[in-house]
Amino acid sequence: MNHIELQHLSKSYDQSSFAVEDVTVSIEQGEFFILVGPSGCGKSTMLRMIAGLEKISAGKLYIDHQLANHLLPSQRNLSMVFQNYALYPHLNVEENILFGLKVRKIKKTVQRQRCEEAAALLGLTDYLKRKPRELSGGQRQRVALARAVVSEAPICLMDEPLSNLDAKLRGQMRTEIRQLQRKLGITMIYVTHDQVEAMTMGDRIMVMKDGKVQQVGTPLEIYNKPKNLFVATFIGAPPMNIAKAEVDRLNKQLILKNEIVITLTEEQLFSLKSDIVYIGVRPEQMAYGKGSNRDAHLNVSLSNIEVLGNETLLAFNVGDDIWKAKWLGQWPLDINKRTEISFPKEQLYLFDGKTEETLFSPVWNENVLKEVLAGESR
Amino acid sequence: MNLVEVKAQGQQEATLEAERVREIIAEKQVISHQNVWRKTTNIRLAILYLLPSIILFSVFLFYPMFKTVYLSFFLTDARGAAAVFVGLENYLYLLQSARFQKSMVSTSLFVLYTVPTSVIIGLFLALIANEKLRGIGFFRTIFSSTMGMSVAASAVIWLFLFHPTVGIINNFLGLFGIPAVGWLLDPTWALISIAITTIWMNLGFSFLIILGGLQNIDTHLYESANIDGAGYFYQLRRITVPMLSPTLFFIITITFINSFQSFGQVDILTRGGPAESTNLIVYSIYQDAFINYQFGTASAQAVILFLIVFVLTFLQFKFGERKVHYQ
Ligand SMILES: Nc1ncnc2c1ncn2[C@@H]1O[C@H](COP(=O)(O)OP(=O)(O)O)[C@@H](O)[C@H]1O
Ligand SMILES: [Mg+2]
Repeated sequence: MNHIELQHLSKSYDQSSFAVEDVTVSIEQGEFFILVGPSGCGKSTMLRMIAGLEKISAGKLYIDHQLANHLLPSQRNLSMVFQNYALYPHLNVEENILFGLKVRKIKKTVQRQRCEEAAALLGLTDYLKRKPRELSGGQRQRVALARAVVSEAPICLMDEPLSNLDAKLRGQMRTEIRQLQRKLGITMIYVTHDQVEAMTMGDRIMVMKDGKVQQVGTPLEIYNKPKNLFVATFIGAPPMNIAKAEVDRLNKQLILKNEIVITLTEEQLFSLKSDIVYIGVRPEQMAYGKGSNRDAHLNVSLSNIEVLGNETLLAFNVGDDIWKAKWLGQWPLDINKRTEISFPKEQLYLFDGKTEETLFSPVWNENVLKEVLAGESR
Repeated sequence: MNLVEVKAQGQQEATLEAERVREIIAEKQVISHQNVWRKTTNIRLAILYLLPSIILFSVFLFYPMFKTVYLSFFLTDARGAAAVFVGLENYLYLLQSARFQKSMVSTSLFVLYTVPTSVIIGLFLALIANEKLRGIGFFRTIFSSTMGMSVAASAVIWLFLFHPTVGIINNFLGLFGIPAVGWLLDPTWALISIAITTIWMNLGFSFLIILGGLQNIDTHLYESANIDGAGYFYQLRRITVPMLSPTLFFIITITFINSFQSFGQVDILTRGGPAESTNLIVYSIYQDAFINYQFGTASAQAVILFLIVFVLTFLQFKFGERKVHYQ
């Protein structure tokens, strides 16, 4: 059932440029929906329009199949968690959690019960009498979550809620928020600029850039079948390796800047419309050695090696671009020697040189994988 | 294990740990072998920086203060020099003097009129000037403009406004058929007139400070409250005022002290009259000292004023600060 629907939603602050342009998407009941994109791309603006904190310049917003453009924030039946948590510094944790319920004049006994439940759920029971300044960052975050929980609103909006936490806590809260959302069955719209959060938490992701939607899809769709160069480089860490190449149709090959030549399959060649393309390879597709004749191979000098215990990140120059390879295990290579690196040609992504649209992406057969797994479990 | 045992054990562990810390420090610390001159570099530098203000304070503040206390125990000659030591005579005389008592009553009333009104009107103006409207900068400038106006200029403006026959106020009241009020000439109105002038003069400052305080409040708090459905006055009461409490406390304290020390507007508008109804304490001090040349009683009044302001401000801090939420 669709819960929130945006139709051609646009926002302009200055009437001369769009902060958000023509967004159309439908968000299902109980879905964990992620808005991701670089800073300044209009994610917060989108979220604030949904919350009713910002006027909608054009387009329609439906909540529960009802036109919600002109509803007050409090009439939209949602809760919101802000990046800086927006806790009231003069109220203690309990009063903070119950603020919204007091406004709505909910019965005292119900208030107490919900507060206790939420506090227990988020491990805040011992801190109820403390002021926000006496809490750690993670605890404040939990108070903000508890506020959303006690409101029992069916929709929850979160604007970069984890960006003020340290890396370890962020990982922990990621799981907690996801579990909380599943348990309560709420519809979540979650804004982040962090592609890891997007990949790990979301049922579906919407990637934005400069106020425009680039792609909407499940994390794996976005990862495996990016619609354009931007999505391909934005999702994945380290990002996809990119280089400009010329198409040599006669010899069925691509020529990179530093004279690297990659022969193409018929199918790949067929998809190319322009003579300049971007090639893209995921760092994890790179392998050590020359590989077979189905692989493209590069002879490179390494510019950096990061051994991370269970994996190794290598950096090297391809033309003017820095490429990365991610290998499992520990590879204490000599940085001064030239190294042979190869990758399977069928793992190549090709993007149009002008429009940057994806022309070719590797085969990704999700259904086959699913069948295999299903067969195994049978 | 019961609670007492747990506590005892905790304490024991703490003392053991403290012992260990002290031992390690004693054993491993590196003692500096610099001479005294080098060691006191910081202190000497600090004194150097403090010296200008210490000198200024001493000449213009501490010395006059001590001199005032000293003089309050004497009768003085016409040149203001201490002549006869009289102990607490000056104070006793003052406490029995009807004129001084009246002055104290006027001063208290004056403070009561001006402080809450200045702060409340300042808060109101700041609240409306904090709205994001076009051209709001103009109003912010207007509202804060009295801050840049001297006491003399303000008083003269109000002198004209209050004028019994050509003053705008009486003319305006006349439009509604209200008879002319002798604002500065009628003993029942004179103190109120001075209070109105003072409130007007205070407004610029309290407006500006409160507006600053308002702008420091995180707007997300209001957005969150909006999502919860809190109305304007609920937000004002539960968010704005508590968040503003340090600012309000500051403004109240400052306005309070200023009110006690009002002088210029009295001097220009009423000269303490009519019938001494506006003879505020500082004006009374001025009259005793520089018109009657009674430096002894004038000093005693100054000391009493100081003690009153000191005690009241102290009480304010003691009881008011409990309600203040510092972040
Ligand atoms: N209140 C505002 N007034 C004017 N411009 C704004 C306002 N808020 C955001 N913008 C502009 O809108 C664009 C999108 O901002 P925002 O939604 O905050 O991006 P994000 O949350 O993705 O970082 C930015 O270019 C920003 O400068
Ligand atoms: Mg943002």
